Formats: sequence, structure tokens, C-alpha cells
Amino acid sequence: MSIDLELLDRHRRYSDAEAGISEEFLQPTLGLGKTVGILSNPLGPARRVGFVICHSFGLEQIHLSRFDALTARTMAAAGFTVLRFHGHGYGDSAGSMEAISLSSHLAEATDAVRLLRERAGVEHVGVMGARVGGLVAALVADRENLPFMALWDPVVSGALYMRYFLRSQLLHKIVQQASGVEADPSPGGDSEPGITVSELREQLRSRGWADIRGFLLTGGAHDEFATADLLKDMTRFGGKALVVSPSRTERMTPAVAKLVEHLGTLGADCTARVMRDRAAGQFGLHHHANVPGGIKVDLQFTLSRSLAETTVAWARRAAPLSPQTPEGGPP
Amino acid sequence: MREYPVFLPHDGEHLALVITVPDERPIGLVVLITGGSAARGHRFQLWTRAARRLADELRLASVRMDYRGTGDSTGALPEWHIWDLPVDQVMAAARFAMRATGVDRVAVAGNCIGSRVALEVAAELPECEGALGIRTPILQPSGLSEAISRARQWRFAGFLRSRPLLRRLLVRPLVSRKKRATGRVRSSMATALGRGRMLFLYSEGDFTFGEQVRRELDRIMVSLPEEQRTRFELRMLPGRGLKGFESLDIQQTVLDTLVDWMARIFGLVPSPATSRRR
Repeated sequence: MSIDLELLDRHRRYSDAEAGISEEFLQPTLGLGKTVGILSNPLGPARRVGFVICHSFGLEQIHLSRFDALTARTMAAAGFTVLRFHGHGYGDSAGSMEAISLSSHLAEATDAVRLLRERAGVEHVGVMGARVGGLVAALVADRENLPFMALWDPVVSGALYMRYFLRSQLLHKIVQQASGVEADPSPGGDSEPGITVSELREQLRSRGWADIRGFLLTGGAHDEFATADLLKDMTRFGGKALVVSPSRTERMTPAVAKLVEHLGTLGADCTARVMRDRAAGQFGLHHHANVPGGIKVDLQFTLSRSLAETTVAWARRAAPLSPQTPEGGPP
Repeated sequence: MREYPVFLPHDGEHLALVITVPDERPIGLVVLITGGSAARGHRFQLWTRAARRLADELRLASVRMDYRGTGDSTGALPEWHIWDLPVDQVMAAARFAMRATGVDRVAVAGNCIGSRVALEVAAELPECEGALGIRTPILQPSGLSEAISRARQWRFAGFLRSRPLLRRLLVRPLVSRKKRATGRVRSSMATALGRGRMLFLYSEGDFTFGEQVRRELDRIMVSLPEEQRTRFELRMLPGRGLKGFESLDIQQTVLDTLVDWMARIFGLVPSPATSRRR
């Protein structure tokens, strides 16, 4: 008996009348090679604007994947066509972790924008992204002169982000040693006792890669991300932007506030929002907690919904159904 | 090797699966099961990489999946009980993948909670010939443990926390007896070992493994007939923890172990040109 291709093809897509959306698996070539994407379509009246969701970097891609999926579906239910995909070295893509760099993220996102533009009914394409996905989305929007972008807690300075990323390996090692787990003391190994951020950077230079909590960070990827700075690299974005800063307080993080100010000086129509939530500090991190009674709780569940709804509200205003159809009126 | 992503209707929702098949006709199917909150490819693409090696080196098909309310599957999952195992979802995925690939020989591999699911599936699926569990949590909280968890919120708990001696004398003896293997674990192991082999993989520095776990496993094994006992293997990895696969070395070790063990289960010899290690 051979592979039942008809059965597999029949299950590539589904429709959910209650949710008002359909979704379809795609296997496009984006950037460096073949990968897997999902196209979320509205079942009701469709807008002429579509969005590409750019996922984040490293383990943040997994921790934010549910938020990306939720946002895609909420946007599709509101009439937007949305494409999300796995970049090279992530999820179901053909590539491995060695392929991951800022260049790979940018190339895939740019190709995804082109792919979405080719869909019937999509005239304008915008981008969205959380954390490093926000950095990527902003750079693509700027370079491709896109009309719309939505950024959630975007990484503004790649240098600061890389420092934080390298430090996470040191913290991980301290926790392991405190819990009695032996580190691998092999010379030059990633777990060599006494290693510091400077020594990790030296590893990246001399060996060409470092093991950051199981993520293979190449020297090239480090250097590319470390030179990215939205305050310098964004030079012409003049479209409509939503910038959301999840926070435990009423205040936007200073870096994101500077980005909002910068977008204003570029002439963008920027909507800035602070999303207050107790789980804001977990955004992009592991967000499942154990509570007594053997219960696991998704700490980001409410925040994710709030962010998706805020984004849809902004997108509805930014891209109405049609000039003749007021928002909320008949299609 | 080819991959087919699909949405499988299940209980009013759609489960996102990826079925990987070798270029030649597959000789068996491996069901790759993640822990509670990981996506189908698992951290660092571990299950994606495993699926491709199984196809390229052993001619084995595989299926990996997102549980309901996680990854690209539909549904909502704001909270769940860690012992409310999504066995029905994995069974549905396994059955669908068997139908799509035309195979009737199956093995399962799971990590953390996923390995408990793997154990249940191995017991329920008559075609299952092997189950590999990574960091299998065989102990579950007893009533005493639940009470201790709840008591952590009391003011008296704060008083105890600030007094190490009292903690050592009063709390630790209770905590050390707080967990036990359930009858479900014991019966699933007995059923699965009745027709297939089983490998439990832990590492020395892993909190899911300790003396109590070793004693429980010994107890379970003693209760089984000799034939079933010989089908069980406990393997300890030295050094760093398996939790989260947070080193390139541990990822490589897990992948090599999985491929080698599946080769044994299906009576195959892995192709020599295998190591993808950097």
C-alpha cells in the first residue's frame, strides 16, 4: 500500500464557520529554502489588506507561536488574510539552526510579503511581529515601503538583545550548577567553568558558534543582530503603525517609547498602546506555571487575547473594508 | 523524504500534524509526542530532526503534532491538569498517520508529559511495538503532596521557610513521601511490555529521576513476568540535564539514542552516513 496522497491533500485545509475562518497549510520556498506556512482566510467579507506575521528568534519563536496563531485567526475573522510561517532553522522548515541569522529572517519575511501579494484579493500587505519578530517586521516594512505594520514589544536594539541572549546562557549555567547538574568542563566547551559574556563572544569569533541554552548561535548571526538598531535603520517608514508595549505598569518601556517617537519623526501614523498585564514580564518567555493541584496555567492566555483584539481594532481602523462600507456596516 | 502538514478534525477542533515519509515505501511509523507546552517540532526542532533521520536512515514514517489549544491546532487551553493526558488526541493522530502511510507497525516516543502519553498509547494501540520515554514522570502527587502544595500559601509556611532546621525536621520527611506511581502507570507498563519493548531515558542530574523513581520502577518490574521484564530498559545519561534539551550535546545524544533504538525495534540497521553533528 502506498501513501494516500488524496487523504493527505484533503486535510491540508479546514473551514470553521463558527470562527468565520479557513486555514490552509502551504509549503512555500521562502528565503533559503522550503518551509511550512499557514494561510488564514476570512470566510466572510475579505479586506484588500493582508498581513505577514514574522516570528521571533530562538526559543521565543516557540513561546510566542500560540500568540502568533491566535492573532492570525482573530485577524482573519475580521476580514484580513494572514500568512504565518516557520523561518529557516525553526519548526518544520528544511533548514537547521546554523542557517538562522537576521539576514535569513529578513529574506523569508520579504519573500512571504511577495507570496501574500500574489494571492487573489490581497492588494496591500502589512507585517506584524513580536519581540525580534517586531524588529524584523519593522525593517521589512521600512525597506519594502509597506503601508502597515504592527509591533508587539519589539526589540529596538539588537546589541542589547544579544547581550541579554548571551547572559541567558550564563544564568542557565548558574542554575544548573546550583541544582547539582554537572557542567561539561571540556576545554573550549560551551560549559567551561568561569565563562563570561566576553568569553562567549570570543568563542563566537574564534570557533564561529556558541551553544546558548541549546541554541546554536553563529558568530555571523550574533554580529548581524548586534548591529541592528531600529532608531538608525528605519529611515523612511511613512505608513500606519501600531506599537504595543505589554507592561506591568502604565508605562511603555523606554526603548519602545523612543521607537514611537522615531516613527513620528519619519512621518508615520503611529498608534502606541501600553497593555497592562501581570504576565507582561513573561512575554516571549516560557509562560506555563504549575499551581497547586497539578494544574498548569498559561500565564499569557489573557494577555495574548488582549493583544490580538487591540491589533484587530487598530487594523479595522487602518484598513476599512472598502471606501463605501463604513466599519460595522454591511459588506 | 517528504512532509505533509495536515489539519486532523478531532472532537470539534482541528489538530495540526506533520507526517514525514521516506522516499521509499515506509516500513513502520513512529509517533513523536512533545511535552505539555512545546510545539510539534519540539524545542530546537528536535522532533523535526528526528522525523527526518528516521525517514532517511531507517525508512520509517513519523507523525508529530500540536495538542488541542497549542501550536497551530485549534481550541483554547488556558489551563490543564497535568495528569489529564491527551491520549485520545495522540491515538487519533496515530490512526490517521497509519491510514495515510499504509503501515501497521508502530512505535512511540515522548518527552516529559508526552512520554506518559506515549506509555498510554503503547498500552492502547495493539500495533505498538515499542515505547521510548524521555524523562518519564512516573510518580504523581499523592493526597499528602497536594495538601503540602496548598499549605505553601499559608502564613505558617512562610514561618517554616525562614527556619531551615524546622523545615528539615518537619517538612522534608513529608515531602520525601509525597509521590507515588499510579496504578495507571503500572498497568500501562504491564500491557505495553506484554507485546513490545520500552526504554526510559533519564539523566543523572534530572529532578524527574531519583531514588524513589528507581525504587518504583524496581517494584513494577518485580511484579511483571520475566519475559516482560526483559523488554524494559532504563538508561541514564551522564552529566547535564535532559530538561528542555538545553545543550547541543544533549540534543545529539537524544537523537542518536532515538534512531538507534528505533532501528532495534523495527529490526533495522541504521545507515552509517548519519551523524548530523556539527
